[in-house]
This record gives sequence, C-alpha cells and structure tokens, in this order.
Amino acid sequence: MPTSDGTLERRIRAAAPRTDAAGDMLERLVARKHRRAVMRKVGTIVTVVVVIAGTLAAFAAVDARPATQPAAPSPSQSDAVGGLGLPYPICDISTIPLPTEKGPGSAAVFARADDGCPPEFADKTVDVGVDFNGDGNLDATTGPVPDCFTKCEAFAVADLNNDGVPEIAVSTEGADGYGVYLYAIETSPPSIAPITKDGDPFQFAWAAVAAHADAAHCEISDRGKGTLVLTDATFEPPDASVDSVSFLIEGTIATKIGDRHTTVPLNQAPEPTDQLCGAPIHGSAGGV
Amino acid sequence: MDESDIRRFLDESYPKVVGAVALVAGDLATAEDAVQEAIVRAWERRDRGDRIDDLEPWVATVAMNLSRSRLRHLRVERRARPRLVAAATTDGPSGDAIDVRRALATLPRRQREAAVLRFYLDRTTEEIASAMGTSHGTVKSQLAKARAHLADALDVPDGEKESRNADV
Repeated sequence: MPTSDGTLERRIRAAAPRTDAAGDMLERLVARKHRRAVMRKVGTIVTVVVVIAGTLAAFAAVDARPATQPAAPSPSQSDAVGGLGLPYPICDISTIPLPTEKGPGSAAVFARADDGCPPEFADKTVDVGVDFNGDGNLDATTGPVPDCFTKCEAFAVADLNNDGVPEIAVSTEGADGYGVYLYAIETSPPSIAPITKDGDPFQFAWAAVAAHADAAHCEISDRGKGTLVLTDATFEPPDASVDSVSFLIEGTIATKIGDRHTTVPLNQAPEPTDQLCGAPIHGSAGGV
Repeated sequence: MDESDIRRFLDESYPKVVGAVALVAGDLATAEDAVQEAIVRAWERRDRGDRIDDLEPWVATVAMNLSRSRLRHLRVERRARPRLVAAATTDGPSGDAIDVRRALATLPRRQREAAVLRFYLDRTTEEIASAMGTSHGTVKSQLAKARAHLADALDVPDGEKESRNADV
C-alpha cells in the first residue's frame, strides 16, 4: 500500500461526522416504516387525481392554444471539447443569454475535460462562468458546482432581489427533481461567486413528485425589495400543507427573513412552472 | 434478518455507516436520514421474504444512493439546520476535519464515494466495484484520481506517484 493511503485513512476517519443511534431509534424506525406504508397509499390516490386533472388540463390547453407559440428558449449544449476562451479543455457546455450593459453576454455551465470528457456527470468537475460582452470568452468563472449527480445545466438568469443585476441559477438533476444553486455576478470588475447561506452554498429544490412539490417565486415589497420565497407543498388530499420560507439576497449572502405554514386546497398548491421570478427556465428542468 | 439484527446494526454499525454517508453527502442530517431510510427498506424486504446476507454493506450502499436524492437533501437540511447549528457550537469539527471534508466535497461524486468506501470503510476494490455497480478497473482509476486530488489538496505525499517516479 502506498504510504499516502495510511495518512489519508487516518485523516478521513478523523474527519467523519460523529453520531450515535439514539435510544429510541428502533421505535423511530418502526414509526417510519408505518409512515412509508401510509404514504404509499396516499401516493396512489394523488397519482390518480393528478392523472385525471392532467388529462382535463391537456384537453383545455389544446382548445386554448394560439396558432403559433413563441419558441421556448433552450440552452445550447455541446459535447465538443474546448471553447469559451478557457486555458483548459471543457465539455458539456450549456449556455443561456445574459444581456448586460456591455453587450449580449451569456452564462455558461461546463465540465472540465483535462483527461477527456467523462461520460457520466458524477465523474465530472463542473464550473460556471459568465461572458459579459458577448465575445465568446468567459470573463469570470467559479466552481465546482456541488454534486452534479446526473446533469448540471444553466437553469435561469433572473433578478431574484430586484436590484437590477440578475443572479445566475444552475440546476443539478437528482433522482427525484432538481436542486438549484445560485451565483451572484458583478460586471466591473468581472466576477461570479456562489451565493451562500450560513457559510454553505445556498440551494433550493425544484421538483413535483407524487406527494409533494418544491418550487420558488419572487415577491417584491412596497419599498421595491425583492425576496425569494421557497415553497414546500405536501399533498394531503383534499388539501396541501405548504411551508414557505422567504430569503433576502444581498450580494453573495442569502438571509432567511421569514417563514409561514398554510393549508390550501390541493389545486392551489404551489408547483414548479416554466419560469423563475419571471425569467424562463432553460434545460431539462424547464419541463418539470 | 429480524429485529435483533437491526438492534445489533444500530449498536455496532450505525455510527460508522452514517459517518461514511455524511462524508459523501456533505452533511450529517442527510446521512442520518438516508441510513434510517435504508434500514427501513431492508426491514420491508425482510417482511416480503427477501434475504440480505450482510446488512452493513447493503445499508451503506442503499444509503449512499438515497443521499443522491436532491429533494431528500434539501428537505432534511431545512428540518435539521437549527439542530445542527446548535450541535456545531458544542461539537464542531477540527480545522483538519474541515479541510478534509472540503477536499472530499470538491471530488466528483463517484470519486468521493470510492474514496470513502476505500479509506473510511476499508473496502477492497472488488467490494467497491460491487457497491458502485461498476468494474474493478474503473474503481482503480477512480481511486487513483481521488488519491491524487486528496494528496494535493491535503498536502499529503502521493505515495503511488512517488513510487512510480522511483521506478523511472
């Protein structure tokens, strides 16, 4: 065994978070097992309701659809290695427009390909960057985007705090939905940096599955301040239980400023749409 | 597997498996939730008559897969954050632990899983390949990359690289 392995083993073992099974753990596991059985039944009921509602909505949408629809923006994505003016090879590039005072720029999410382009995202190191003047070269980059399990993509360019400067949203596809990480930008000097909360990368869920939905929207106060509101709806027919948490985003810091719990009829539960705070959602998450 | 097996797992293996999943997932709450979910799933399998020969590697593998669930991570984090912040004030990680966790966090997911299975759970490359559903050769490649990255990030001499240089 190489000598470094012993050192790595020792340091990694010392770094692992510590926990013990609580004394009532077995009872908690029994309760969890029971909850899973109940949720399976609820999920079946909700699935039936959603299928019926979806079918009715599809018929209504066909009737109401205009003759021509504006094309939904989609990120350009490439498996080609190279580009964006970086001094190292890259691949899996997804870009979305980022209009600035300097020109028709873009935001890009890409994987490093120093040793070729790994076929799976779980093997890639993914960064995010911005081209402010549209010359095709990134003016600033940061990374890695945490935990790109299945796919990481440019998600949206949206002004979440209504300060006139958009934030960059990057989606990471998971087994049951998307996580969205946010990045703050400045044009002069060019910079991009992750938005954090309590020192950790700030993220929120974007997903609609059988028994719950996670989404986000923006609200603007009377004084013009924008807040990002994350919603977490659990379907409990005929109602939905909704937890909402509001965040103020200033520079690279997200601060929780409030939360509330409400119960609404199932059909009024907040769900992901094709927009984030008025900006179109790009990539595969656009169809959630 | 019966209730006594679960009790034994909770006493003997739970902290180690949670620690491994926490190193991969990046936070303790997600790891605890994923491991508890994996135990319940193992229990349900037993109820259906399925057989699990060795609970610890089964739970570790399933929990690592579950920890990839984005929604699970975010929901659990939201519920657990106040508790974890309170705990951190009394039992925060050391400076070196933070460095190690950061270095692991910058590895691509599969390299991180391979590194934790190897260096924390002391699995052989064959066992890692089985747990990750990949080939022995792929695991060796993932481990070599992870080792090089961690050695560089943590300022540890890369023994494998040095032994190669010595051979030249």
